[in-house]
Amino acid sequence: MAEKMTTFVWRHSARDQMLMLVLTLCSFPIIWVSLELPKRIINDAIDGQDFPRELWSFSLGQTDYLIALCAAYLAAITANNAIKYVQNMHRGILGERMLRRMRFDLFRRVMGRPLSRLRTTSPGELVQMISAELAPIGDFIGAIIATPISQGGSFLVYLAFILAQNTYIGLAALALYPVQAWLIPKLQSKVVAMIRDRLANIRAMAREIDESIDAATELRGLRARRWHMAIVSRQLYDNYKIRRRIFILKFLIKFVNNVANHLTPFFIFLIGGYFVIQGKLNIGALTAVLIAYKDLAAPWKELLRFYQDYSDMSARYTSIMENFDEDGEPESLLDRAPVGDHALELKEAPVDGFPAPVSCHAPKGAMTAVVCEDANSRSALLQALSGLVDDAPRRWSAATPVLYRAAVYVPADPRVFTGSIRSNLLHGLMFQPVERVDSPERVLRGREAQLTGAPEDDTEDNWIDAQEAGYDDLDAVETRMLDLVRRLGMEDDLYMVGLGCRLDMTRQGPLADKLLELRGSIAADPDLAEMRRDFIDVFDADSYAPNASLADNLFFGLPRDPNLTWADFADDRAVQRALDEAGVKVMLVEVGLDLCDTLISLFEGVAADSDLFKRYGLFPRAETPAVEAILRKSKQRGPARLNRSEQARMMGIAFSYCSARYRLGVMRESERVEALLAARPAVRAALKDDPRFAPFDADAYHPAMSIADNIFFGPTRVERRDSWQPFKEKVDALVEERGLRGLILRAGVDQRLGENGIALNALQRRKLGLARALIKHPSAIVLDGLAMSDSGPDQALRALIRDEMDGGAVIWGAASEQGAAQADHVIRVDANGHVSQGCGPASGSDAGSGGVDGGSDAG
Amino acid sequence: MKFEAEVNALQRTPMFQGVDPSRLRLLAFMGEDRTFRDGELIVRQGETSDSAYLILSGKADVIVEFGGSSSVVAQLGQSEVFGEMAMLCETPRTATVRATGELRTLLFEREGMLRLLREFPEMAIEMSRSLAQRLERTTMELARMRAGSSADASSGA
Repeated sequence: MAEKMTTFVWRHSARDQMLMLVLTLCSFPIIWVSLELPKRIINDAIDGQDFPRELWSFSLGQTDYLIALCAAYLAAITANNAIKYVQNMHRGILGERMLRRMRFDLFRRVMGRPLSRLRTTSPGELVQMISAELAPIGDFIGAIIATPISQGGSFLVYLAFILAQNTYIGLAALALYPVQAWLIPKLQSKVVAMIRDRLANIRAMAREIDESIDAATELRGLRARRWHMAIVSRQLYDNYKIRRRIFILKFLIKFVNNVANHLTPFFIFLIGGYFVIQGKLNIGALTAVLIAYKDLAAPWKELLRFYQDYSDMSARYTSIMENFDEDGEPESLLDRAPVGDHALELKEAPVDGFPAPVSCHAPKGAMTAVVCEDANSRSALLQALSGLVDDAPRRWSAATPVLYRAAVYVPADPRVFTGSIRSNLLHGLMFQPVERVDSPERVLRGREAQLTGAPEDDTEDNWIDAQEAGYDDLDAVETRMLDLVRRLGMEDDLYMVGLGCRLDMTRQGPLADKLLELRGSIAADPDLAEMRRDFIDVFDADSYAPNASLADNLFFGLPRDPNLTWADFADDRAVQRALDEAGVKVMLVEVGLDLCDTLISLFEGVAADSDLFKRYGLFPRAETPAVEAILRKSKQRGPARLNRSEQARMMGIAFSYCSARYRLGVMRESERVEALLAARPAVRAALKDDPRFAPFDADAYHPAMSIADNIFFGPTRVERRDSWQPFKEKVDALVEERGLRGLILRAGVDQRLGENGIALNALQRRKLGLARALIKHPSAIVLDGLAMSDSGPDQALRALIRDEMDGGAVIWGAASEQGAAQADHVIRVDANGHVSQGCGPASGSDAGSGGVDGGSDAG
Repeated sequence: MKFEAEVNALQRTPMFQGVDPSRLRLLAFMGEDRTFRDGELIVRQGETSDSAYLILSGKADVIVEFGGSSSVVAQLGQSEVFGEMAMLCETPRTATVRATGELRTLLFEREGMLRLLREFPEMAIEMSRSLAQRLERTTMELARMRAGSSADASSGA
């Protein structure tokens, strides 16, 4: 049974809640004063006699007295609101902290789940619970004690004030509250039940969405997309149905409350008016009662809302926490690995898919094969050997006590994390923070972490312990990283990535200078310069580069922001003004119109949902109707009559046009090219000082161009793209000669990979996974699904790994005995899941059956 | 009309005969210009690559390497297509093609071509008709050669 929300709140925020309570209590006398003063002002100062009055040894005339009372009233109101401000702020901060605590705690518990359970956890459902469902709770519990006390207290203060004026009016004002207090909880309990239904429904939907995306390939393969959409559509309907019922009840409650509240003034006017006529009540008191009554409605409304929220939030809280009941407190993270006699050893360990607990080992420094026909069982056993087994401290041991280097499991299709190649390669070294980086911001984060029960581990700290991992220093880690990249055959790929990336000019200025020198040397060398002219459309201030976009040519520069293209600036005022003044705006609109006209007629007959247009068009297919409308308008009324956004749309399309690639003839031979060239100086001058753009300059490194573009200083000519290999090779040799290759590789290592490393192919991912494992200097490496046969390449890869492991144990999974031919030690799993082991490759099926031994083969 | 020269060249190739000119115009648009200087290689035997080329102007030699020696087996000229086998079947190049003199071509990528064929199945039918005709001619030629060689063999015995 999960604990109740109130218990949780009390346990973690008792002190803060008490502070809120004190603040609230402080506000009550002030409220009383702010009610009392208006009455005094009317009865005593405006309507009163006997002046001058004595006030703290001051003698005040009527006007001065009025001013003094009004000033006091102003002070009371200000103080009241100041307290409210402090309260609200405190409440917000407290709420955020509690929310953070709840979220982190849930994430921590999920991370602590056994792998077997995590596999059946739906990420969609979790995200829904941790992010969406918890959010309003945080806001609410910031003032879980203060709200009822402050609102209830204000309510009582107002009520007492009214009763103090006249008991009958007070009773009249109170008349309808018992009715509400009886009816509303009855309705509310129904709402709570529905809230739980709704949460369950939304979660089921999150799970469905999660599954639909996760299984997208199969879902489409089965042609069951429609069915799945129908499921979600149905869940949305159910959600609507539940919410509709909630609305009806919620607003019914509001209705009851409103009617009751509006009936009360009826009684006040009637009874109060009667007393005033009878002379039993003065008019000032009646006014004060009316003001107090108006104020009474507000806290009552708040109380009601609090009650509704409270039941809503505690229902939510329980419904979320129920899902984590089983988790309990996660086992604390292992710090050290249990040390045994072998590189890796399992003792009576339960392994998924095996009928009995498994005992086996991989000897130190040896090559061990795990032979098992069934891929799932093999993976399970290899994972268990790597220490990924429940109750690891008792069931598993390794040769080194350093947990993160005891064993590393390498699957055939490793997960590539979002980030750069560097962060992926170093991932396995991020075991624990080793050195705190102290910055004021870091201290603040640490304090917040303490306040919310989170660990103080900070992403800004140094997490890599180079010495512990067997390196001299961090530079040595860096060197090994590039070394592994080279040995695993990823260097050329990485070099290409490096060439394609933009330098961070603040950090890599020296490299930029060297690359600029390289550009100069290519231009100075007669042989290379000749080749460059042939293959590269070099940017030249006086000529048009047909292989670059029209905008690159016109502005003769690039936007600095890598996420923006010139088309994003078509609607920019400064850009439009510059183009207008240079006299090319209308022509650009016309180019855009011509392009659209040509493209639409080219793609006539192509289905609307075809990806042809997406790949080869210049604007999204969905915009075709809008573009056609612009074309029609311009044909009827002329391009100059298009409105600003239509013109910008056309210019944006014209900006992206590259004549060598598209060959659509919209430049009218060279007529428009010459006009653009003529406008270039004026456009450049107009945008010269705009920090958003960086002009091309043959003598400067361009911050917005990639390394390769900076070396060549111009796009490759489309028509020569297939023949430029010799030129590229010569330039690559020059790069190598000048010692720039290593630097470019480092730049490549820093380049961000796409989400999940989507840009990498299967082979590259595999290599990355392997390099990531080897860089840890593990004492044992476990290969699952790679280097598993006795083919030449697999043997070579194992030899390479063994070499890089430097005396560490290598364990690989093999589907058959052949794959184990080179092993010093073999663990065999037969068809029934029985595990046996023995030294060396087997000659027959009986070889391993009796050969369970201890240390004889270790070493 | 835009891409007139390209469309004319495409229409003259057997593979695209009978395909609607408006489709060919789109095909020409999707293609990319490639020019080669005398002696430059366009495709290399044994390499895996997935593009096909249409010769717009100039000539090229087809060279086959076999057992360490290479020989020119054919010459290609204007409006001839090469590399289409590798493009359609993703097989390694069966011969090397070398420009003799300045050669202007239009390159078609496999992906774009497949998309186009998916879009216009009638184009695929026209293309397979022409490929089937070519296969028929090749088969007949092979049969004739076999008949000839067996006749040689029998006459020699």
